[in-house]
Amino acid sequence: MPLYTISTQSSLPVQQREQLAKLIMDVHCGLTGAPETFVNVLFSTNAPLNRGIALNILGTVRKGRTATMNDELQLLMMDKVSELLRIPQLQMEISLFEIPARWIMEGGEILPEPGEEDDCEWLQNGHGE
Amino acid sequence: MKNIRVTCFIQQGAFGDSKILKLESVLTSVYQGHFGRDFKLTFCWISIPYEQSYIAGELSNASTVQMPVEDGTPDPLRHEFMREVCDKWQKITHCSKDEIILVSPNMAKFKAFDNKLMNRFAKSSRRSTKLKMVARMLAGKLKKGYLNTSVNL
Repeated sequence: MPLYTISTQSSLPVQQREQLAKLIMDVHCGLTGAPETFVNVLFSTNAPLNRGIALNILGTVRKGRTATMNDELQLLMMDKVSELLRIPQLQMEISLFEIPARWIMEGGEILPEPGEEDDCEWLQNGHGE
Repeated sequence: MKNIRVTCFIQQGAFGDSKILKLESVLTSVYQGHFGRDFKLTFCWISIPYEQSYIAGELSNASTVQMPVEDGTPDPLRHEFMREVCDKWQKITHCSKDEIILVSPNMAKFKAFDNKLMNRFAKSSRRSTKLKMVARMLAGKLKKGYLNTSVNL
């Protein structure tokens, strides 16, 4: 986690998917300080999205950040993705869904709470590298 | 009997049919071993085509498994269960510990997430999309012996 699910009506080209996966990681980690190895991006196509919507981003994130930071994350993500894909923001939707870190296991370990990554021994010892 | 829906996102073609059926059987035993034999698990396998999932900006081989537990399950019990699921998953699939992501939310949270996923779709299409997904799952079960569909709708 986070897991960002990107839903589109039509498939995005591979190159754009790669760029988008990197962009989402950069935006998420740049703002929250989360480790890059946590960032998952999944693409789903043929989605019958709302009228006029070309792309929907649903971010499942660890609970524990402030509402202000989550708002900022959504605004920045919307801005950067719109710029990369050249899709007007009016044609995009973004939302976050929070899950407590203690309900998630990655690399065989329970995830640390947001902001406690530096105190997490298994993470500092090279998780996912 | 309480029914628990387990959702597994796996890379397309990563595991053969026999491995998937073994995972269903073993993980059901693990679940019942921790939480009691009153639970019946229904697995839904969602395959992810190549180049549609990424971790840390690179192509991913990881599977994401959502196994909800009853609301209020204490963390020590939940974590012990999660560890055993990950161990068994690795033993059966021969994947590394970094290739299994397990989420064991409370049931209420799992249902809320399901609603959130459905809310991506136009209101007028939600019912038909759900029916389409169920029909595909059932067709997949007839063909392979387990409920399955693609992440692409």
